[in-house]
Amino acid sequence: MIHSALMLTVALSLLTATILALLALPLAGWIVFSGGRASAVGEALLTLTLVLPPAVLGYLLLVAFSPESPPGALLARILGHPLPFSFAGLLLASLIYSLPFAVGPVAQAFRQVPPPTLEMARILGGGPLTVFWKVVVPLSLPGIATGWILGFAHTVGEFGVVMMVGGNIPGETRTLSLKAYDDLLASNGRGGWEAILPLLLFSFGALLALNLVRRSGVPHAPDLTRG
Amino acid sequence: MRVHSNSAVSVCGVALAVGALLLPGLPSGPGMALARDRTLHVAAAADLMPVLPHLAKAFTKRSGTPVRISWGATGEEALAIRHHAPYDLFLAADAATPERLGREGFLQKSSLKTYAKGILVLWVSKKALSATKALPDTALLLQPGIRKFGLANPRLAPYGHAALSCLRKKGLWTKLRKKAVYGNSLAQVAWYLRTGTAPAGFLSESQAMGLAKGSAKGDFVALSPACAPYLAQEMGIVRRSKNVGAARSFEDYLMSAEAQEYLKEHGYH
Repeated sequence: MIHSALMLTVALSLLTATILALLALPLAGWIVFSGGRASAVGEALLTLTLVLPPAVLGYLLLVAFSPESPPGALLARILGHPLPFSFAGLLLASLIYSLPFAVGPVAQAFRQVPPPTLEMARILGGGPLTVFWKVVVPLSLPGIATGWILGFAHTVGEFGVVMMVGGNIPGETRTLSLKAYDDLLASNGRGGWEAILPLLLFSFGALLALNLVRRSGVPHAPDLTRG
Repeated sequence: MRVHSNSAVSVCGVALAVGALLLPGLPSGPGMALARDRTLHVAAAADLMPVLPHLAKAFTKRSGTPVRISWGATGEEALAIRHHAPYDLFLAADAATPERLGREGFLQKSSLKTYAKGILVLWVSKKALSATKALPDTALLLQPGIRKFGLANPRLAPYGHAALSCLRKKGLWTKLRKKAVYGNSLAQVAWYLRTGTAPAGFLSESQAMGLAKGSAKGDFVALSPACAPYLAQEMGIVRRSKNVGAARSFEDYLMSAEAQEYLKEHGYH
């Protein structure tokens, strides 16, 4: 069972982090470069799940995904099964609650691209998309890596939302953090070490990776302008 | 009196458990504050949600002692009590957990009393019932129309354990285990039913009666004592309680004819 809880958590976290890393590029680009008032509202919406209590978020997702609600019924028809209590439901929930962790660092990195660099690129004839792909994204790789790592780590550690939306089904939606909780509380158990050790390893690994990314340094913009 | 809302149950349990794990190293600051606090702190199993607030209010009116209730699964609260959570009285959903805590010295052994006998029920939504044109019954769960059913985590919650042993006794568990979804406490199972995410689930009769009063449409059948025995629910006073007098009078009140009558009317045997 630990095997499946471990594999389940790894699969869920890898998928979530990777999908979010891809989504983060256009979302962070919109937040940072569109400059409109709408993007401030957008950023607040994207960051909402950072502040909302996870169990409340889980409850809202349950209400939204319930096969008795119109969007839930539509999704159930597309997928062939209702979204709650399934891996797909867990993945969608993870994408939502880990979103700010993945988008935040990318937006931060985009903001740190020096305006003169962007101006130079524009003067040299780059359209907005070219500037974005050829200048902004390459300069922001450490931020993108940080977003991926945080998205992964946060998904590994999430508890409240997966508990509500997943239904704690062994082999299907019981993640490591749920298993650790169960093992800790069951009075006759051997304690939660089977689940806690991998959780500790993941957390430590993620933090180590973050530090390595930070030390690897950001390629400096002046190099480009000088060239 | 402050009562945590449904939506905070599991979170409270977790927070308390975590808080309890972190706090014992601190000096007796919080304890001293509690000594002057007259409020009675009760940790209660989630099956009592529909009944205990009323009883606590009646007790407060009579004695002048405010009651604060923390909800959770019996197992969650037992862990909190093992780590010296500042409760005065523990109302469990079974007898085994308070008995064990009594043996381990966390509850006063002499204060252990059976205050209620719970009834396990199976609740099925009206929609699922009208689709199958049947009355609620455990065999109904085999119907393909019922994709999932909820029960409280059998390792943490006595009602979940009772549901599991009932399904095992009927030889249904191996066929049904793929359909089971688990809530951390009865309250979370009631959530699944209220939101319509699960069309059926195992509850206490008290919770099912509460659900029937709300927006959820459905019917339920009692499984105690035929399929699972009545759940003898015990309570006990926390040994480190600074409010033993109030805890004792609340125990006496719960055992009084008036309170027992109220419990019988609201889903207890």
